[in-house]
Amino acid sequence: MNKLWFRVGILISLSVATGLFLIRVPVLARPPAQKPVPHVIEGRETLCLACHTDGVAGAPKFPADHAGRTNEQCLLCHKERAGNATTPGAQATVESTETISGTITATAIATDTVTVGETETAAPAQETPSPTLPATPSPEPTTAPSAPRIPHALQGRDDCLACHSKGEGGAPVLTTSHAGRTSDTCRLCHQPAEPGAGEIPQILPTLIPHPTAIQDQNSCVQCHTNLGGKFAETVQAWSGSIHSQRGVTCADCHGGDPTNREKEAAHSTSANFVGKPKTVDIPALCASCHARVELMRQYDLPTDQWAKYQQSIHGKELAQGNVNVATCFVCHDGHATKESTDPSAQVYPLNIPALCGSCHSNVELMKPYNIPTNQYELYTKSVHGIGLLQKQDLRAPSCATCHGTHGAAPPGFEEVANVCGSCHTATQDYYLKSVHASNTPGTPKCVTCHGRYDVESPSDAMFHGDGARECGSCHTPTSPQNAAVQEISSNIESSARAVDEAAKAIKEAAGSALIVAPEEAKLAEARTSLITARAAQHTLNRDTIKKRTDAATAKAKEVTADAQQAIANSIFRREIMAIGLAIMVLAISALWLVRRELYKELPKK
Amino acid sequence: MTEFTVKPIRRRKSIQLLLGFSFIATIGGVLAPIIAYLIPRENAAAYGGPSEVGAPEDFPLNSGKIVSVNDKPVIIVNTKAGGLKAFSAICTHLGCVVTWNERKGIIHSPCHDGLFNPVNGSVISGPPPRPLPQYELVVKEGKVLVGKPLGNIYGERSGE
Repeated sequence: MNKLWFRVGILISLSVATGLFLIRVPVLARPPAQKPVPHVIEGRETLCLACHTDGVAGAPKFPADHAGRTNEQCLLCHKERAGNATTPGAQATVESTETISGTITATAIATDTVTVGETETAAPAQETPSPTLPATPSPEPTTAPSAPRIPHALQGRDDCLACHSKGEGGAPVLTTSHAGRTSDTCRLCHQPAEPGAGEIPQILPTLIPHPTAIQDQNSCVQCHTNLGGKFAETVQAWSGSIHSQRGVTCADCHGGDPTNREKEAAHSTSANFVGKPKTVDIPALCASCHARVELMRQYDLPTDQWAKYQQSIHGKELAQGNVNVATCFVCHDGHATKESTDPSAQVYPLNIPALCGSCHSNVELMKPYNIPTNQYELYTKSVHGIGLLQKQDLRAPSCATCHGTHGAAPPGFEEVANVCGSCHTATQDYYLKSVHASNTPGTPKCVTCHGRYDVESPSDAMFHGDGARECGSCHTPTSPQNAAVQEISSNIESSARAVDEAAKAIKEAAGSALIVAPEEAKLAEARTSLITARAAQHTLNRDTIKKRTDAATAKAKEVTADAQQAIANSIFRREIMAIGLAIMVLAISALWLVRRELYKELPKK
Repeated sequence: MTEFTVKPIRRRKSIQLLLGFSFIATIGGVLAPIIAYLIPRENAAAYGGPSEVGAPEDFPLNSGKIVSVNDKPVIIVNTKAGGLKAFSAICTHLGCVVTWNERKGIIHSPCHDGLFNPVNGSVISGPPPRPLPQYELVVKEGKVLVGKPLGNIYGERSGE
């Protein structure tokens, strides 16, 4: 028994000793007090001495025994502080980036001041967990009280020396003490005028850090062109795109290192290579530029597409993982992205119906949603479709005019017909005054009588029939409403007949070479009354309509009478002309007789 | 006894009378238009000449008024930006007679809410496909005179 306890005792002692050893070893093995670097190292690997030689911006000067060491040597011992930064290109989530935007500058500047002095072992900020930096470089956690702040926005002005080396546009010229410094180092000391003023809040998710485009150094284009086939086609499509013209390159959407000619390096994950973005990621990827007002203002583009898209049926389906829906890439010509004003763009108004139809007319594709697929066919036969597609009238609506573009049929938009009034304003004003607009169940909307996709030119026949879109479909022949319908139709039709007769009389008068301008002016007034009466029929107010039809009829009858009078005058003038001709004939006859008399008196030869 | 010698009218005499009548009628027919040309009627305008449509006081600032110029409806507008201007009052959509919209200070076609700019006649909104053609307008000796149509000064399409 004693032996057993003795063995257990030895075992425990050995375990404790081993544990202690294991704990102690790394502690003992750690080199003595090598200060961690409190800022991001990436991008500054060759800049240690630029600041730490003279203590620029409060950077600790290196001690005398470090003299002669190179930037490379610094990094052999001094490592970046743990949790210090997310290196550029790391995927930042919306939440984390949002937090950063709001706090980085304030907390960093307030607490993370590095005190100059060799004996400092840790900056006070080490106590505080360092925030994760956003994907794009942010102001460094250093301050330089003496360094003037930057009074302008920084967007699009990364190249400080472009202006400050020669003083372009009145920019202060670099002092001689700054000779040899590069644009990358300026902002180590010079902060924006107000904390965060020059920073673009990174509120949008982006997979890719959007590296600065390097002119004429796009290895993607060179390699992919050489590969031929669909690779070359993609490059060619991009080359003609608006993105290409505006300097948006492959790496902006696909990541990678376009400056590297080796495929492995260019496509490496360390170069943030994404390759083909997932369909679900496309809208946010596009939005990482297109939702930014400060970027899009110069192109006069809206920035609410992403917000709208998320509200749309397309966006909601995509969010649920349905990758068959329309994304930015599908509608905006893929790699060959074009401006919406480019007549060859899929989103050019004349091309929109075919674009929507390319999916929505596909029976197989639409099967899961249980929606019709004949909209395009119906549309092409409608007044709207004929106006847009045949007459090429850009004022005619396409699918997008009623359904919206990026916010296609968003929630609360149950009745697409609500948008008719945005063009048919006068008619809408009249309709809203009618009992039809009372919004009680069964009351007709625009589409009830005029159709949805196959909107036809309305005719007076709609008053009389009992077809699906005609008054009789709701109002039975014996109903009091039907009596009202017949009264309205009778007034409008008799007025229309009077106007037609007037027009015919004018035409007849004009055919008799009469001047009809005064009658035409009156006819225009009659037509105005008739057309407004037709529009006012949407009020269902018989008095309002009758007032206008009466005005039209009266004017038209006046015109007819005038024209007939003018024709009668014309006949009178012709009669007068006949008399005149008769006189002429008489005169000629008289002359002939005189001539004969005179000849008679001549002596005969 | 007085002897009456009845002098029968000879045929030649009657022929000469007839000839004289037709000669005078012909001369009259030639002279009448010449006299009408030399002494025109007041405000006749005669399709082409400027018509007097009123005095400048008849068209106060921020107003529009339909007048008849050579029997065609023309709207005379007076705005701060464009001053006195004359445009055809026939809407380019379906030919309705336009009106002046006091509240908006623009030319308005009542049929389908076509709105026109009172400075240059351009379409502001609505279905009209073309701007309203402008008319020549001059103020001379306290009279507003409207002349021939100028066509569209705005837009690419030509006027009526």
